[in-house]
Amino acid sequence: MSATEAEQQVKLVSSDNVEIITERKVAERSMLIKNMIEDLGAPGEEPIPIMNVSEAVLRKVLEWCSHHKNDPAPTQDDDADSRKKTTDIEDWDQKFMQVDQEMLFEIILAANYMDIKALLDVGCKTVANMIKGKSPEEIRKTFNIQNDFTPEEEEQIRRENEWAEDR
Amino acid sequence: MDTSLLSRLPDELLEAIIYFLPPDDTVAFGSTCTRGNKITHEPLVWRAHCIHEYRYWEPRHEIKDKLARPPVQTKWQRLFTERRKRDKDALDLFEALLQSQQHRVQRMEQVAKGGYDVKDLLLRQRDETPDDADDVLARRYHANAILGQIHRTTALEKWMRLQKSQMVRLEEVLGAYDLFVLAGKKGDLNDIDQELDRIAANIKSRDPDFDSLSTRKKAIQTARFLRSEDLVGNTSRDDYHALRNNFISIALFDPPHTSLPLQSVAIYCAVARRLGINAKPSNYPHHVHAVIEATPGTSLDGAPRPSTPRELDPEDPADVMHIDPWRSSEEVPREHLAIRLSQMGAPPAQHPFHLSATSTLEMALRTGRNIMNSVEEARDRQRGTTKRLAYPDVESAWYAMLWSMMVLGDTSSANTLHRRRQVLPHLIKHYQAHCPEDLFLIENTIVPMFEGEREHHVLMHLITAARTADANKPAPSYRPSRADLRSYWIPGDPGVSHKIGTYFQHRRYGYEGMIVGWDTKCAAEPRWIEQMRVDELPRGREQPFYNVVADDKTVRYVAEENIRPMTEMPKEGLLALAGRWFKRWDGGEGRFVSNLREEYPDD
Repeated sequence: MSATEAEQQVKLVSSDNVEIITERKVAERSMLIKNMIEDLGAPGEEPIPIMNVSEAVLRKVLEWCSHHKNDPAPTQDDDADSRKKTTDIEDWDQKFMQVDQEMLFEIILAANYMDIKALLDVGCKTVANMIKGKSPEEIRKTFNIQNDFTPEEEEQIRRENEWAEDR
Repeated sequence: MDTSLLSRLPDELLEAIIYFLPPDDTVAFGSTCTRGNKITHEPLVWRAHCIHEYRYWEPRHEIKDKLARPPVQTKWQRLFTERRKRDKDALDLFEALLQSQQHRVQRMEQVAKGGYDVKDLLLRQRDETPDDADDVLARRYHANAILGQIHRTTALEKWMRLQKSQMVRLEEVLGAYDLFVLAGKKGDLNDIDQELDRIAANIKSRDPDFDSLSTRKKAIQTARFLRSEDLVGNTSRDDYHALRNNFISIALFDPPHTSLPLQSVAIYCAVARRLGINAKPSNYPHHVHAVIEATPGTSLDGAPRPSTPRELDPEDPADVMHIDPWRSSEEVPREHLAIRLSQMGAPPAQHPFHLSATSTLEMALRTGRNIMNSVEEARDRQRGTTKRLAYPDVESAWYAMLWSMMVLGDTSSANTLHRRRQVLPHLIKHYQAHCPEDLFLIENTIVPMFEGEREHHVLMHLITAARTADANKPAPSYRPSRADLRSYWIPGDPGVSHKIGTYFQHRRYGYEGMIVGWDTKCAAEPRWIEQMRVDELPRGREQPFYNVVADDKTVRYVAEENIRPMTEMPKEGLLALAGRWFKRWDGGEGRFVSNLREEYPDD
């Protein structure tokens, strides 16, 4: 992508039919959009529909893309075995993710749909950090999960997991 | 999960979240609801936990093969759970053995039985125990000691295989010596194998046509690479006999990577074999070469040979070649080697023997002898100084040599027995002073070797005594009471002045040490008292005497008047040793905190 191409504007359309204009370089953090632009051939003219993402969420996602537009491209050797299982999140991303749960899960769904791997990881790590260190009951409270086990099932799970730390 | 916003996420995204959870949190999440539970049973989740939590596995798990197969073919969750349970049991035993001297040897054996399945746990205890933990020194010392037991058990298994003429590779037999000195450093047999695999792959990847090269070219290219990476040879020739040069893992992992010719050739042969080259060490006197033989049906230069099976002709340069990777990467012509043999006085009839490949057993025995020389040289050098060789540890290397000489056979069974008899007292001495936890190795390995011999009875007695001592609480030594003191009161005598854990310098000899036991007066045999001229000391034999461990690891018996207590923090070497008797260094008191309260309740 040349410098002029990078500065090119592209027009995105949210699921609730709002047009958002942004830099091509920012939009192309999304592999979905990048592939669509390549397929369309004439960026900037035709609006690109982002079918599953509402305006509010799309703006939030683009805010992230804009901040990270100069990040190096992800390396291809994304070998699951060697990947570090850290849930450390950089400061800016942490602040960015301080949203209500509704928005948090919308961002995760959008990142998945729009194929933005790094944002998806940040979202999943944020949820993982909300789970870490909690007892099952505390996790239920945090996410409003209904306990749908029968007492027998609960007993069986407890037995299976005797090796784990008691919480 | 229906009312939860989390439930809007499809399974694949819930799995992506779970991927970032440690095992205990995975379980907690799985205990919240049915859907969460189902997702946490994914084999990939537990495969990842197995990989991230554990680096070492017992060979029976065949973990490498399991990782190569599709994840669903392995019960990863079960594997993980079993491993965790094993950790828990081992940790309970470990905590118990730190608490009490009673059953300590037995408990150490029980933990060590876990082998590589408890190695990660022990490494964590050793490396991740915080400096301010109540029993930091004891924890690190005993974790390290059990790691040593596990490594030595593996080493002896390899040597026993060799002794029984079972299949075992040269690098395993030589690496077994390393297992005695490793002390948790990188360089166990797995590490060595992985490194040799990596080097071989590296050589291959540098030349896309490598596979089509003739054996001769492959052999030379391999030597060139090893030399260019400094993995063979010795750039500091004046240090030829340095102890480190005897250990194949130190040559591979520890700069400056120097080694003896034998270890260089072993590395060369191991890499060469991985590249399809038939290379073995030679029988050459005072040096070792690699002997490379042609593969059946093809000469060393790739020319086809008669397909009928025939003996290789050692004189034919198309069949056999020599390389001296320690000195150079070029081929050494047979004539040169023969001339040098003649100069050394070897009769021509023996030349074929010296120029041909030797056995793995011979290489192992030679390594044992080399270590003996290096240790003696190192001890000479250290005599009279307080400077100690940090790595490899001289005493551990000595112990490795003794064990190899004990296990590996000689030319005849009479010679083997003779050598074992020579080695036995030295080995027992080292075991008693430094490795009481090796009782089971002596029991299982050495006792059967002396079946029907006079030593058998002595060994059995020694083992029974050690087992009994371990099974019982040590008899307590109380400090003399005021009443006791009054009965043999000498003006100004405070009884036993120094406590267990006192760090001191010897007033006359200057060495440093720590007090691990005391008697109210000299309790040694009359002969010792006479020899040491105890009665010539100003306070004589009636003063308290102390069992001490000096900074050179020796155990000594010292009169109170020669103890000059010190309160500053002892040096690293003594701290590492101190964990056998003490919990930690108490900076406020300027003394070690005793872990011998059963024996000395008042200290």
